[in-house]
Amino acid sequence: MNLINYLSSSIVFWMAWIIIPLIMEIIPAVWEALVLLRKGFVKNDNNISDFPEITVIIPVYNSASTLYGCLESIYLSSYPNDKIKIMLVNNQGIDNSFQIYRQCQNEFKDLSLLWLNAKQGKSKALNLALFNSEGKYIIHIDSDGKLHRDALKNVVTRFELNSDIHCMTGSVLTDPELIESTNGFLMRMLRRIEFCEYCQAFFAGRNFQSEMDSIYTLSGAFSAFRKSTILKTQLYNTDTICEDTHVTFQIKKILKKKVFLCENALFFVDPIESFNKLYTQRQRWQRGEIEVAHMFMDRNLFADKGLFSNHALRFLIYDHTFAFPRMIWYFALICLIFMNYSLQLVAGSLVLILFLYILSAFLFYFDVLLLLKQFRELRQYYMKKWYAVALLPIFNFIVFWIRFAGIINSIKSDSSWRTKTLTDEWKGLTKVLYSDFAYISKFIEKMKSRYNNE
Amino acid sequence: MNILVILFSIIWIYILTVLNRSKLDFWKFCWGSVGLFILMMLWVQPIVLDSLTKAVASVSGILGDLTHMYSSYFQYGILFISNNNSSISLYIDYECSGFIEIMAFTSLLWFFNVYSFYEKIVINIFGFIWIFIANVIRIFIICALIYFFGNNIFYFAHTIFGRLVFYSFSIALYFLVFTKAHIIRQKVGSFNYELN
Repeated sequence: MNLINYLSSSIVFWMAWIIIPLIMEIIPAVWEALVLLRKGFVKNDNNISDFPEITVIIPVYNSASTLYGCLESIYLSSYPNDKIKIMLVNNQGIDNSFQIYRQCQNEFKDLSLLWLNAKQGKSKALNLALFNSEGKYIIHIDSDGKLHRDALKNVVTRFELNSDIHCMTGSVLTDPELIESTNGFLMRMLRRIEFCEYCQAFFAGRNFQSEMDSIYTLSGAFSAFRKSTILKTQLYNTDTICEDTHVTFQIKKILKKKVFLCENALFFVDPIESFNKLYTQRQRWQRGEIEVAHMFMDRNLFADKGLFSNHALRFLIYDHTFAFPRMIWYFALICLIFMNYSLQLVAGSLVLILFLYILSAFLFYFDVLLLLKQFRELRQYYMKKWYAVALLPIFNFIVFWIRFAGIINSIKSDSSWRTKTLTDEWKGLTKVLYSDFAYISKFIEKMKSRYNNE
Repeated sequence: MNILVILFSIIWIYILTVLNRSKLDFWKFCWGSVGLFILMMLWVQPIVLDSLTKAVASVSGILGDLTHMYSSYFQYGILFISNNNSSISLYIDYECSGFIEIMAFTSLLWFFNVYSFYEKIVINIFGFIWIFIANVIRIFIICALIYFFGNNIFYFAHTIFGRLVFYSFSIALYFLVFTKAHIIRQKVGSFNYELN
């Protein structure tokens, strides 16, 4: 009887605390996983025989170390080299990227390589190239990544077979080779988890959004457009740090066109350099989301359709609004222990929520495996990283706090704004603390010197 | 206990000034709002809780009288629901009063740098009224469900349905106060490329 009483009171307590994350996150995750499961069994695109001319735009900013690998990946791709025109747009970089460009010109003779100089800023570089671009399709990639052999072919095939698709984002993943050559267990583990996060973000997250026509942003690292469509926009905006999100909004809100994911077009980028980089990168993404929402306020961001059909609004509520009660919820749980709630109950509810998050992460894991069926090596690599998938909820928890920092830090930013790393923040904090305790330390120094003199 | 609380308050204020001078906005927000929340739970709760409970019971009672579904004994913070088959009395306790939610909202608001001092006062009052009304509506819905469906529905009504209704109101408030205001006032442009 005691056990029944205990269980019933526990369930009531757990339900009370679990109901919100269950409804807001876990049930939608299960629904998404089921939708993707269906997509996993759909056949891939047919091949095309006639390849149109395309322009590949690569902004260059001190990219000497990665540029060769990037261009080589295009050269070795399955798309005919004589149909590719590459524009390298240097935006005030000062390293020897130009020498690498010259080297590539000599080595990759089949490729048409152009070098342009633009003002500082990625969006300015992209706009300059867009003005000068030719070809039916324009593909934009970052200089610090490598295209999968079939990426260009798969993107163009998708465009050619679907006249209603005007704009696509490719699937961006971190490079497994670089991940495995990482020194240090913790860093390697962080990068493996990041790899799983990218897999789930593109093959599950954006894939589902693509199905529902609710992609919030194209990937800045790899996106593709019909030239006729991108030139009808106001091009890349130079005021925001998220020009990729801004152009997505232009296509969706101004041109009223859909944005899709080309899940079988892969682009490999470098894994995260350090935790500091993760800290600034995710804050920047969060800030970009808010900036672009601000810039599109006049276009009925808040009033457009209802809550459930306005996906931009849903994103903001999920990322911004929910962050506040979530933060309080975490601390309230700790407070509960001091309010005579049993530690077992509080810890139990946390474990149960963690278990549910892990469960939903594994639902996506199986979806991703299914969707990776045409990339055998990658699939095997991902399959072996099941333990990193199990750690994803913890990684997501850390990222939640970083993104929350992005929300708060973006409020008071002025013209000298730049995201501080954790190391910068720690230095700033210790500097103030040292100055505060200067009198005490001076006193200690005095005492020390007096003692030493004696 | 009081000495500990005073000590905690002094440490809290000192660290707050350190974070402020270090221009660590995010850490200041977290430390400030969580600390203020705990301090209000320690200082304000004993003063306000009883009155708030009675006020919630009293206003909920008006709705109960109007609909003849239940009656309120607000002096004791008790609602009495009776229908043909059964009767149940609900005690408006600490958790049902909405006190925690009001304090949470207040502490987040005062460290949310989008608003000026006077704006925060007005929004705080507005938020207090909003949460109070949301709580009254939640209690009314719980009572109505019990009135129509009997005592067996209590756990569902209280733990799940009532909570979801209240949570929806809270999210609407948080969206208006935090998200919408932030987006409207967000500065754009003039950013630094370095280290980003």
